[in-house]
Amino acid sequence: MKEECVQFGTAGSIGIVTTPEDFAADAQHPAVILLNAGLVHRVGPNRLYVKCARRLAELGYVVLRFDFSGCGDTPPRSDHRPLEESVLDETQQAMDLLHQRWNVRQFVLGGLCSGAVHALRTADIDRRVGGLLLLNPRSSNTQSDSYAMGKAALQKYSKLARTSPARFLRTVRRKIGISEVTRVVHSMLCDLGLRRSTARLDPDVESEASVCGRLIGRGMPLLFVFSEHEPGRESYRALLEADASRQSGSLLTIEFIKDADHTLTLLEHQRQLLECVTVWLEDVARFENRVQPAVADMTGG
Amino acid sequence: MTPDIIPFQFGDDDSPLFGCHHRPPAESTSRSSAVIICAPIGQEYLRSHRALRLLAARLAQAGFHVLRFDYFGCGDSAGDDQHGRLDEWVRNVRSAVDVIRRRTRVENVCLVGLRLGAALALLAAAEQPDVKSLVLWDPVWRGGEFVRELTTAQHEKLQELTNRELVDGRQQGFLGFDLSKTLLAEVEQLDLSGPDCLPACPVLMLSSARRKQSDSRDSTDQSGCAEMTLCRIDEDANWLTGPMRTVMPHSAIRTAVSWITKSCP
Repeated sequence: MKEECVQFGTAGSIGIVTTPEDFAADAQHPAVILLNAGLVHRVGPNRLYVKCARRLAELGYVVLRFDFSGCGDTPPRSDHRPLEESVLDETQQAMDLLHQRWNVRQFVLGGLCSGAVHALRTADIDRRVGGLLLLNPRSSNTQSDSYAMGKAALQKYSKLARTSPARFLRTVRRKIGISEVTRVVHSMLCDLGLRRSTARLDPDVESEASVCGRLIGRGMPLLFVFSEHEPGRESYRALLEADASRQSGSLLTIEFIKDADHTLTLLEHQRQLLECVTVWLEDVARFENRVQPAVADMTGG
Repeated sequence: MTPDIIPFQFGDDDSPLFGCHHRPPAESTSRSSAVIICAPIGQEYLRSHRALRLLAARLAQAGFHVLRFDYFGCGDSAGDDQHGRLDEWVRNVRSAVDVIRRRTRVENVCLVGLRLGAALALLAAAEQPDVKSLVLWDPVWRGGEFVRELTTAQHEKLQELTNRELVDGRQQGFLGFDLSKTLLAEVEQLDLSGPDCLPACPVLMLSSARRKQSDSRDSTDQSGCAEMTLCRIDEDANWLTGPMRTVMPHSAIRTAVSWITKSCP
């Protein structure tokens, strides 16, 4: 396994390309590109992207981790393009780099949190993307996740109250703020039918599920991995499964990691995630042979 | 236009370290000192990355060549989490000093260290005569306290997620990082609180007001130090909270840039 610093594109994006020790330019694997998880720079939360890139390089994949403009080490752009456009532009430039330097023609985009959403949006406009690896996707509109976050908090604290009442009381006294109490009460009122849950109507989640539907329709395999404590997982799951049942369920894989938090802090959860990803990528590698003619057009769009 | 940040690798070919060289603008006054930033480790490394990048950018704007880098087994450098060792990291700081001198031909170096990075800077400075000044920001003086703080935070996280007790914290790492028993034993042995641990060169000690007092060295003890400036900063300094709650400690950054600009030619 080898690692090389790269600086590319109009934003001067800074990244690391991890390649197998004996990488051959005519290798058939897609390259994997990991997109920033929120504000965390390209090493990923808990250095997860580094661990993932090195594991995948051992299996023969080229992996690029890079920082969007204004995040991590990449300087901010000077052209005033909005974030939702610049991230797509810079991800496409990352694909251009891997094509020019490593002769890769097909890509799997992946990311955690906002990185997953940016991967999804890029796949929708660029046909070089042959698969998506979406870890705890979170929409930009986090306010409308209030119901799901309240529900998740309620489940967490109920479990704590049952198993360790003393610790539950300490947590209530020291850690729970008014905003969390408000979300919990809101979710309880929704469940009792006294308030309407906004989460199920979240326009971002609906829009992203609709993009997923289009991509599955295009024959693209998607892996979703959700942590148990992830607030938005139920709304995503319902929409995705409904969509998948209308199309091709075999292209959609949804995995759950028990007890895990948003950034997979515990090592056993990180190991489970890497296992999910590697197993799924083997399936993608088998699948890509079937879709190769559809992604041969390198012009995107 | 020449980029003002240049990513590069240095050190051994088979285990390279990652560095970011922030270059001063071409029109700025040429200085004969470079600044090397020694980051914390683990979750503190992630949480402080934006702040240290901003510090580097401000120093470059003030005319300094600045190097941020990752220790072996950390960030983008070679090695896994469990490969980190204290003595190796001190050697990495020295390699960083050598590489910035080769790249820029500057004569003097100022080391800026945050948390465990401050301890590493202090240890490296002791044997590096070209280090002419030090900034120690919320330094880890006693490694045992640092390991206890990490263990407590990990214990709370484990209970929050699984309601399991911490039988052996190392089975689940330390807030997402798989630090080895050997490293933890080395860190526990670390004690820089003695009177002979400070160097003879000028030192700025930045101390966040909201950190626990047990973390602090006796601020009146300046024995062995030629010139020490103490500065307490009233800013949030919980460097262990998750990266999604990243802080931007502007006062500390302003203070450090101002002191370095005055102290380093």
